[in-house]
This record gives sequence, C-alpha cells and structure tokens, in this order.
Amino acid sequence: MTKRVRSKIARGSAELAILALLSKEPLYGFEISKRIEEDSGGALRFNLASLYPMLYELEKRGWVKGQWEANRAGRDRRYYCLTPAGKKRLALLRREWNFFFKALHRLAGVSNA
Amino acid sequence: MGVSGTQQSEIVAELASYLEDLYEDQRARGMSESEAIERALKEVNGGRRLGRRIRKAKEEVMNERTRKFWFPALASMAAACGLVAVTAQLSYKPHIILLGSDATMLVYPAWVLGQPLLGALGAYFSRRAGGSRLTRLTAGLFPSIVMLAVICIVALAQGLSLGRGEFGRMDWEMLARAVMGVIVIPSAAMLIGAMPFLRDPKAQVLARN
Repeated sequence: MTKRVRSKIARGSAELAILALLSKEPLYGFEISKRIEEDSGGALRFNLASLYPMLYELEKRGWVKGQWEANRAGRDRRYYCLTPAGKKRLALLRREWNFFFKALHRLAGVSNA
Repeated sequence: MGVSGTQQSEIVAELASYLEDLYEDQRARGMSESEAIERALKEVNGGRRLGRRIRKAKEEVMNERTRKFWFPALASMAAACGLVAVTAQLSYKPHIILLGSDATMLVYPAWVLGQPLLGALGAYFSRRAGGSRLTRLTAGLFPSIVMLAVICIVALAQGLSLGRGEFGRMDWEMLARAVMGVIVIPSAAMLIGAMPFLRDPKAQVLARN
C-alpha cells in the first residue's frame, strides 16, 4: 500500500489541511508543514515549494492572516491564524469533502476515516 | 520577483526561516550538517518556478467584492447603455398605454425586451464569482437601481426648486407612472433574466445538505 498520497490528490486537500490546522491554533510555516505530515501519519507532505504559494494564496483571499512575531528563541517567525472568513471557508470545505467522500463510497466502496 | 521590494524582503526572510527550521529539525533527528544542508537546499529546487508561483499568489487581483458585485453590475450597466444606444439608433418609439381617461404611461418595448439579458448578465457573472443570492440579484438589477436613484435625485431637485411648501404641488401621479414605465416594468423583465442564476449550482446545494 502506498504510504504517501499521490501529489494530485494531496494538492486538492492542501487548503483543507492548512485551514483545519490553523483552526486549532496559530502556527508558522515550518510548524504547519511538520504538523500536516505528523497528523496525517505521513500520508500528506507539503514542502516549501508547495506550502508557501498556498499560504500566500489563502492570505490574499482573506482566509488566513500572517503576522511576524518573535518566538522564545528570539527568531522572528511569521505566524498564520484563521480569520472569521477563513472559518466560514473551512466549514464549507468540510461539507464539500464530506459530500465527496459519501459519493466516492457509493461509487467505489471507499470510506472515510 | 514582480512583487514590491518590501514584500520581496519579507518573503525571502520567511523562506529562509523555514529552511533554518528544517535544517535544525533534520539535525535534531541525527542528520549530519552536510546532509541537513543538502536536504534543506532540495526544498528550493526549481527556484524560478517557485518564484513564479509565489509571485502569482501574491499579485493583487480583483478583490472579492469587485469580482462578485461591481464587475457583474457594471457589465450589466454597460450592456444597458449599449441597449439604449441601439434602440436610439433604430429609433424605436415608445408604446403609449392609456390609464383611465387622461393618464398615459410610456413603455419602450424594445428596451423592455432587452432587460432579461441585462439581468441574466449581471447575475451570471456574480454567480460565477461565487456571489451570494442577494449579490447576484443586486448585480442583475443594477441598471434599474441606478435609474431609480437618478429619478429620485431629479424629483428631489425639482421639489427643492419649487420651494418650501410647494413640494406637494409636484405631479406625484406622473412621477409614479414614469417610475412604473421606466423602472418597475423593466425591473420585472430583468428579474426574469436573473432568476435562473439566483439558484445555487447543484454541487453547492448537495454539499450543503
């Protein structure tokens, strides 16, 4: 069984993954990448080249907001948090993905977790 | 990179911070310094492509309100102006409707027949951009809204020119007939054109359920 989800499928889920993560707490770029890999059990992995264009796109659309903050180690990092518009977007994405998985289950016997 | 100097500096700083975090993470997992550096550098393979993707993501494009409302509304308005120009060129005459013994109302059939297209145009573009039902409706009816505003301003100006106390002397009945012929009837026709686009696309409805 393939451990990592193929890139085409993974790309489609990037927005949902990032918004879902940021709904729990503000995170900076590397943390987002690491948490996605850890929380998905290694199935999803976004590197710098795939993560940042997506983050900037989400920020442009007003769904996340980035802010520079100094962390405990003293290094400035750009933390991202979910905006109210982002929460609505996340709710819509969750409904759409649930609908999608139900359809896939009917069609191909694939069930979500 | 095609973004402002300040933005570029921030992006570079942010990506550099990511690479530093990655390097430290790899070192903490037991990688040697050279392996960790190589691993970090792999992240920026295809730097030009990354730069293009970031530039595209950062570029200011039409904001949401412009895409969902103003562009569709102005498209509808532009089409309305085009329709006026065409009907004026073709010298279409108004149709006179008799209301009672001495009252008439002017209706321009060619103008009214073109209204569904204006309504459809505004509502379609708004739905395509993800506009809410109210936004689609307003975009579709935008030419009538503008016309109504113009009539209100003209009526107000006329009322003010008559002087205080003389406002009641305005021919409100005539104004009402004008509004009916120029606003209400065309708006109803516009609404007919907009109606198919006031429904949400099937996928969204199913997803909501």
